[in-house]
Amino acid sequence: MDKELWKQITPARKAIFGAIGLALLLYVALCAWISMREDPYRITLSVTSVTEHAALPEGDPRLDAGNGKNAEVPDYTAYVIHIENDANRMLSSQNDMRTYLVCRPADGSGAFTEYTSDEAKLAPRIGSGQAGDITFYLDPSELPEGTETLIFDLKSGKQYFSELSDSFTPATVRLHP
Amino acid sequence: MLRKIFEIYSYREMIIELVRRDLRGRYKGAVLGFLWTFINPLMQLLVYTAVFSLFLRSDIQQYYIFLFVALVPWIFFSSSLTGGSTVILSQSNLVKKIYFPREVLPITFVTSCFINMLLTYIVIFGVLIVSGYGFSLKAMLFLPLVWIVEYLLALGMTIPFSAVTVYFQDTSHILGIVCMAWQFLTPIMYPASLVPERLQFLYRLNPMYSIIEMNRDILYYKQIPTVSHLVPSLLVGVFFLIFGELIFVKLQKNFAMEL
Repeated sequence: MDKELWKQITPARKAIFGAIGLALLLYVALCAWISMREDPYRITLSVTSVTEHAALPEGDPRLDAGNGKNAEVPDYTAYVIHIENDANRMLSSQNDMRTYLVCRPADGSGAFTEYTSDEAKLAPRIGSGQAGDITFYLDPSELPEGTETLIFDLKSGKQYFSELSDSFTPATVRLHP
Repeated sequence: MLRKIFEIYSYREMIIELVRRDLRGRYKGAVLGFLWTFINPLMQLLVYTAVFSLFLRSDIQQYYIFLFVALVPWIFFSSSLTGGSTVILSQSNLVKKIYFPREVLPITFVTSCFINMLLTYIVIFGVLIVSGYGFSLKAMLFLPLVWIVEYLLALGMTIPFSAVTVYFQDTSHILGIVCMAWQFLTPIMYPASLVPERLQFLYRLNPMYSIIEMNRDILYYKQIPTVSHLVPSLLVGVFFLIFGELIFVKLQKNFAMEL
């Protein structure tokens, strides 16, 4: 610090500078504290109902596999997934979090199905503190033989969100309850 | 650097007076005068709402809010940069006649644009309340911090370009084109998720990316901005300010000869 320069400042002005600096520091500290206290990634999932052999909704891209005829595509099982968004951010496909619902066998035996929330216009737009249902269609023949339990999980295209995906509470469901 | 800060501080009355003069001068002679500060953004918002709800329908809910909360900070940044780059040239008489720290001129210009932006935020808050969209008070607490970061960034980029333009006057025209392209490289009219994953790293190097994302996080998504946006933006802002000032100090030595 330049001593000459420091001497030129009157004590009253030094006190004002100090007060402004302290207020700014406290403000930044408060923001940092809130930022650390909030867990923006905590989202709870639970499966509310399972419907066997459900037809895919009209417009679903997977219908193309059967030339638009539902009869030619396999029977899907529809899982209604209940999502409680207890995070402080909106769960939405518009949000650059780009949320995906992922289903995988509980024993980790490879195959898993991804549900992009953009698909079939079934975007879950669930605000902070709100809850909502989305339907996940699964072809059981895609699963490895002997799969008994499925895990539904969330993941995101956004890097920092994916890194913290452990914070999600995944939902577990038995295939043949 | 500290000496420079104190020197500029001792010219604070000049800065305040020039900012006041600039703000008054913007709508001088207009019947509605200072009210144009609010009418302009409000009209812009009405046009965007009409265009994007009648003709260019977007899947994004309340697209006009999505766009407007990003457009306002962008307009501040681009107008600071393009307008501020010619500020020393346009005040050449003042520069040649009296001594004062030359940084006062870009500081004045950016501060004036900044105050104008803050006044525009009154319109944004009004629209958020009247439309029933609302806002999160916890998230709003972070908005001043984002403003400070953006001010530092805008000032840090305007200071060196205001000096470069003295030597190379085409700079201001080039900056106009650069800002136009830059606007499309920033997630203002579209969400950042539209950018392919493989380009995301490059895309995020844009210092305005985080500023716009933080504004949108706070006002559109009603959530607190993430630290991964806040800290790098602050560091980039401070870096540009220090680096910009170093360039300015080098270039200002021959201002009198060039002007």
